[in-house]
Amino acid sequence: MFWTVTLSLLEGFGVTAKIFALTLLFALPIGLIMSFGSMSKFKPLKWLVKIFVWIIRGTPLMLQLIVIYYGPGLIGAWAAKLSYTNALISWIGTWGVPERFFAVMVAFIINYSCYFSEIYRGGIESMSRGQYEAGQVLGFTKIQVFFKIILIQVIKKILPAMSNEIITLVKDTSLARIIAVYEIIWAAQVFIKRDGLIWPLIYTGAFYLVFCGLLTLLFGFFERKLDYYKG
Amino acid sequence: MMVLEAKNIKKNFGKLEVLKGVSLSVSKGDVIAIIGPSGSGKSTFLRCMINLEKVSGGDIAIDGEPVVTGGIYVKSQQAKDAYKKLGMVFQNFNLFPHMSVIDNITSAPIHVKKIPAAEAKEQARKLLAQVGLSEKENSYPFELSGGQQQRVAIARALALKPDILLFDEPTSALDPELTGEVLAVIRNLAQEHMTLLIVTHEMAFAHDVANKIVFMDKGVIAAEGSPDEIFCNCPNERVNAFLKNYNQ
Repeated sequence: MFWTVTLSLLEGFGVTAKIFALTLLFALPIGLIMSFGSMSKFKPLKWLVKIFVWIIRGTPLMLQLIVIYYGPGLIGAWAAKLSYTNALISWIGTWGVPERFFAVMVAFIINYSCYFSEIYRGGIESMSRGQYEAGQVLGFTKIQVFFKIILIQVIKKILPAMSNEIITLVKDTSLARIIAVYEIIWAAQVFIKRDGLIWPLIYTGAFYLVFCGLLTLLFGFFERKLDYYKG
Repeated sequence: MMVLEAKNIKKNFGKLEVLKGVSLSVSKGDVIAIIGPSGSGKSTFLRCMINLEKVSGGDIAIDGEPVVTGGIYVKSQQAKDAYKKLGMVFQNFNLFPHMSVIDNITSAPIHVKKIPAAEAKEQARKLLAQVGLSEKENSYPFELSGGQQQRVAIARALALKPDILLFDEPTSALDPELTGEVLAVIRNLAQEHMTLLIVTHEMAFAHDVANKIVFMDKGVIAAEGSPDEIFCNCPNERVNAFLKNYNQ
């Protein structure tokens, strides 16, 4: 039985890991772009991003999942008449991604992009003006200044906050269950319903613990990698 | 020809008028010290010369190339390139903390001037020898004293072979016992006839090293002349009062 449960949970954890990895893959760069928006000198853009971040950070991820999954269906009642929404939906359909999973990814990517954007913003704004000025007078372009001088220093500064957020993400993936996406908690609940076993659910904790433990080691490694300089 | 010519430079920060029409001509080989009380606009003037602050009015030409005319910035490639003839050393060094000493010096030559890495390194080692820090090429800025960091910053600026080097209070952030080593490096540059524009509070140094002193006060040049004219028999009461404060 233990092996049956373990295999089943591993299968569920595969989905958990997939949500986790895809969220990072998209939210890390999107968050960076959003942070530029929230620091923009163009006020309308700045406020648009700030209001968006406020809404996303100010409401539960669980609610966002529900809105994103059921929302289009509700809107669909009248939007069905519009050919472009149909075209969009059938185009997404051609990707071969189950729509529940797609909704989960959209919600997680939006949610985590917002949190990451605030972490990036804090890191970027904490950089001294002198670093930009030194880059400028040495003839670096703005893009070079950002990628060669600012970015690595920002990464060092935000690494602890990032690792915190990324470890939270591991556990947030369990919310996918709300719109019936099969992941590790769901896999464990099958055993409650079918066999009346509670321990598989508790056993899932071990999977999260091991995964978060590995991430902690990984971030520790990165922090040590960037330990070669101070300031 | 003038390597740097600024005419009637004006600068406002909101309603505050920081520069009220400052003109300065720098010839090749000039060593000009800009002195004056805090808030007189001397650092702002220097920063306007190298495009770290935008002027509100006036003209600037670098090596004959107009970069600002009538308060309007010229948007040509030539104007952009003209700024590459200026180098700058900051009060707070502004070394890149994540780069070793040698990388700090070679990064702009390699990535901006596109000089081969080996050549840039060789040149950087010569510059480090020149500022007396050959043994520090693999150190990181946090491992160096303030005086050493500033000497690296000078080497970094020199690596781009600027026509003029600007210094913005290069010793103001240093402990008094460390100013000497930085001033010695600047003095050597002056002796090699490098064109220097130095904002400083080091009066004795300015007297020694400069061929021209500019005294700024309240956003204007209140007096200018040779060091002897300014420091010995100056007819300007404001300068005398300022210098008297310094000598106490």
